[in-house]
Amino acid sequence: MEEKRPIRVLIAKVGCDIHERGALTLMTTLRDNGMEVIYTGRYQTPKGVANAAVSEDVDVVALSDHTGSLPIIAESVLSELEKFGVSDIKVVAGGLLTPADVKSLEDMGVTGNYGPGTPMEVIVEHIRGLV
Amino acid sequence: MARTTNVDELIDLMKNRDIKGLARAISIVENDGEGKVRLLNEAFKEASGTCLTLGFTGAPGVGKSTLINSVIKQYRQAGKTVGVITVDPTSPFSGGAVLGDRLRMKEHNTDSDVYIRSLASRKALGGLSEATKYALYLFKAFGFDVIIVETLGVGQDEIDVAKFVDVTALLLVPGYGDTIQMAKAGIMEIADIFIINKSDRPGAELLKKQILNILYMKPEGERPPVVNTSADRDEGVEAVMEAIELVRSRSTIDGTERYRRRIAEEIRSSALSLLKNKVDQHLEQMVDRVLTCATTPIEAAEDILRHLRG
Amino acid sequence: MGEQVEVKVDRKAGHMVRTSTQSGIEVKPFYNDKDVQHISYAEDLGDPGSYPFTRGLYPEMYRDRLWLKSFIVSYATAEETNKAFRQYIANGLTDLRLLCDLPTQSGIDPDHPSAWNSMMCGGVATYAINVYEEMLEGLPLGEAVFEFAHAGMSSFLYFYGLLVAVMENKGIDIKKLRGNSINDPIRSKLVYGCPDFPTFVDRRICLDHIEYSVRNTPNWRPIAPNGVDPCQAGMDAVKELGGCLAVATQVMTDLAERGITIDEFGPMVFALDAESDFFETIAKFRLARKMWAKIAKEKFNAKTKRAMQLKIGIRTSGLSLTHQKPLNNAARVTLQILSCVLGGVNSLDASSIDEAVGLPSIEARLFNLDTQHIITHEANVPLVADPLGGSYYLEWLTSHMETEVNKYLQEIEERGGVFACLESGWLNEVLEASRLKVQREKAEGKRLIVGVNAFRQEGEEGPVNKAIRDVAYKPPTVAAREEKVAEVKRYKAGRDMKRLKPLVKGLYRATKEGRNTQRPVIDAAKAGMTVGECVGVIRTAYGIHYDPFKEIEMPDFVREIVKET
Repeated sequence: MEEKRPIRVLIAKVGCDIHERGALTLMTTLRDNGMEVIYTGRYQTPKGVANAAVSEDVDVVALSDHTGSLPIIAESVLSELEKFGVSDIKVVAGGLLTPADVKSLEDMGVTGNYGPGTPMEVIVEHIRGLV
Repeated sequence: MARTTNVDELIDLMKNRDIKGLARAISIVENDGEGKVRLLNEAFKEASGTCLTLGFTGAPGVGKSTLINSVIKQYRQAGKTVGVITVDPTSPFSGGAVLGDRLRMKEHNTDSDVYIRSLASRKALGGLSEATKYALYLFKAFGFDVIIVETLGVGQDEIDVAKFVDVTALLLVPGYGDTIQMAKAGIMEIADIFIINKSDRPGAELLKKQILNILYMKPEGERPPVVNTSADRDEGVEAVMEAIELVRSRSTIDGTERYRRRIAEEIRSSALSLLKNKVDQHLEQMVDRVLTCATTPIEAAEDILRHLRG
Repeated sequence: MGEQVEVKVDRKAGHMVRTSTQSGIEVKPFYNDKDVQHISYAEDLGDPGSYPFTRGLYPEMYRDRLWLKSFIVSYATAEETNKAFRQYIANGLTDLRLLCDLPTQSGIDPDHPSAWNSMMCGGVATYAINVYEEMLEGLPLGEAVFEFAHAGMSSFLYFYGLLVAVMENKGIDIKKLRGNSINDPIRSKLVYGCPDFPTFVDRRICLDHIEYSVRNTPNWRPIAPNGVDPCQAGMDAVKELGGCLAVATQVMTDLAERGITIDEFGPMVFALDAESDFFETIAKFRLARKMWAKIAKEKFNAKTKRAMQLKIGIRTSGLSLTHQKPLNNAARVTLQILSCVLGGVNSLDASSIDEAVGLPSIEARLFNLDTQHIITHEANVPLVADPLGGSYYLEWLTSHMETEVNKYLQEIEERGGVFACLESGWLNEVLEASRLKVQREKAEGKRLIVGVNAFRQEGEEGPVNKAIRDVAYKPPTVAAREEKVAEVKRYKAGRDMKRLKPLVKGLYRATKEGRNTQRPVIDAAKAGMTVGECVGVIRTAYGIHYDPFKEIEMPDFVREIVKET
């Protein structure tokens, strides 16, 4: 029934976090694993991320942040996605995370929640498993 | 709500100008999904006849996205809705792709009257020009005032895309020394407008002279305008807009003939694409036969065509 | 977390998995006198304190003065930060790194819609002079050393402006101001893609700041080309150092056009990265001093010893720290600090062991200071200057890296200089290629990260590692952010606009007319001009959108200024 296509992932950075290496590394890794990756670049708004995710008809939004604000960012991105009336785009997160952050992200339905240094294969497999 | 794949629902969503409908419809068409043909037929019937389609092409790094960003802004200030199709190459090794052009148009990310969609070139599925052509049907059905297609400008596919848009602009930058290569690739012939971006760099004047020399043989009334811009400084965008209007005013003279030619091109390319898929289905078998000396490549080709007719 | 991939290394009989340094310099199993025959002691090394300063800037080195110990102090509020500064100073911190939160580093105020998600993250939301006054209350402004390591180029102009404004308001002679600004326009764009200004504005602002500082605050080093962040983003050691030298050379050339000689400018500062490769890092520091001394003397005809001296400020690699088994980070940071001391650096900002988990806790920071005290007073490492000088391997490596750095500099020059390399995207390509190489090596098991892709922990995490996770600093809550936005709005509404407006107009006109913008920034900051307004006014004077994010419109008083001018 579903058309066959590469997995499409939007990698997004919300706010003014300047640390980009994780997002870039993920970007090339996902491409090299046969996925189509759209990177928003830094300095995005939650609304812009949701709009890009819906416009690009992606399967997964991957949020990257190193300021310790992932729960706040994820919450606003999820709420913007909801405004678009979309609930089947999976949201994953990675970056600076405390155990409490991981817990609150999981409660929102955000998965992955990987810290720095997580092997890329783990993230690739996680995304494949989601779609 | 989960995003639907039901064609009727998608058509309804598109009629209600809900981008979820358009976004999903493009995915289906791009991936040869179920309902593709119906979607495209419906889209063709719905398509707006008044929208303006623009192509921007040029080598990587010449600043297409940045310029398009400024062009979008101009149209938005005039109250027009804008759809953008950007195309990036698929990695031949992994089949994956990095679709990076949104990055430079992010100020329009929160504007609901601007829709940007990235396509991967994915050679396997009918080629880039087919995907773009069909995406254009869907964009037109959605009813944008202006549709912009951004392509890499490096191969035959991109030249083909020019056949499906009203105005094609070719971007060049000074100092790349690629003018001659462009001429070879046949892109010089299809461009309606030449844009020298990053004109604040040395060599801009020389590049302009080179282009004008090549264009000199065209009659004055048909000669493509040559425009200088520095897109990252927002300079020269007005001149691009004027050039677009100039070219448009020219093409209305033989508008009907031009449209006729485009439809012919669309039918031809669709037919060839269908044919190619069918031929491909028999290919492996025929290769085996040639390798075991059961037939020759020439006979094999005729066999396939006979088979298709029967 | 799912199944993790581990490189299999024989834990008992294990061998080295690589034969090259972290930056990919192939090395032999050993070095002897033949490898260093081409090196002349007098020309290539010299005694500590003598040209070309390979062995250190001063004859007595650390006996005379220890390196400055610094931290980026980055807590969410001015009050917390002030408290932390006092606590650190009491524990031997000598250098205050004033950072602010990420939105203000990007040139926007906390009440800007894009500030919300990273507000008060990475530091104080320093939107105006009132915040600086609170943050610096009771600190010895005339004696302390300050460092600015912000991301955007607007930060150096504006926050230096605030510091000067606070000192002048307190009646302290600004000539006493000591410290440095990174103020490196290449790093701001290449690594951070900062939205505050386009590159051509960055370049002018950079020079305005330097020019004003050279003439008014002679103990302030107004530029410190930065290798740390390019290196963290993917550049190897050769390109890190090469990049710094290229920026420094370009800036000195540009300053000459403003009539400032290298002797007037004084010593250069580089902000370099202490990476995990021990000897390569030491070689890099020694080489940096040598190469700058030669450039200063040969290219810029420096006459004074001061002008040939390169001071090295360090940040140890944050990227090398791991989220897995954070206790291991203590070993990493200790080795990195040791390489800095052996390399003779002038100031040192070491990462904390919990940095891969969250923003550093005060306890982890104090552990850092103690590590430096132990290296100094128990291990006696700084007793003798350049103790590794003369080592066959180290001298060969230093000399080999010099050849490589020179090749890189040559290539930058052939491509039209460092700004042309940035704008053409070439520097980005170099960075990307370098980053991908590391990524590939990790995947192929040619670069082992203990606890991550090798020597992974089996079973449950122990109590020490758990504790490190738990003490990591927590970012501010939603309520705290809301309160900050309200505070900024109150502050803006409470300003004396009759006083502020003409001063902001002064900045607008100076920008438009090509005069130095630094003094107008100081004056307007005293009257309450915020960082977002400073950036917006300069942008407007250049005819570009007031807001770097193009989300908000200019405030009415700025609109009036534009109309009136």
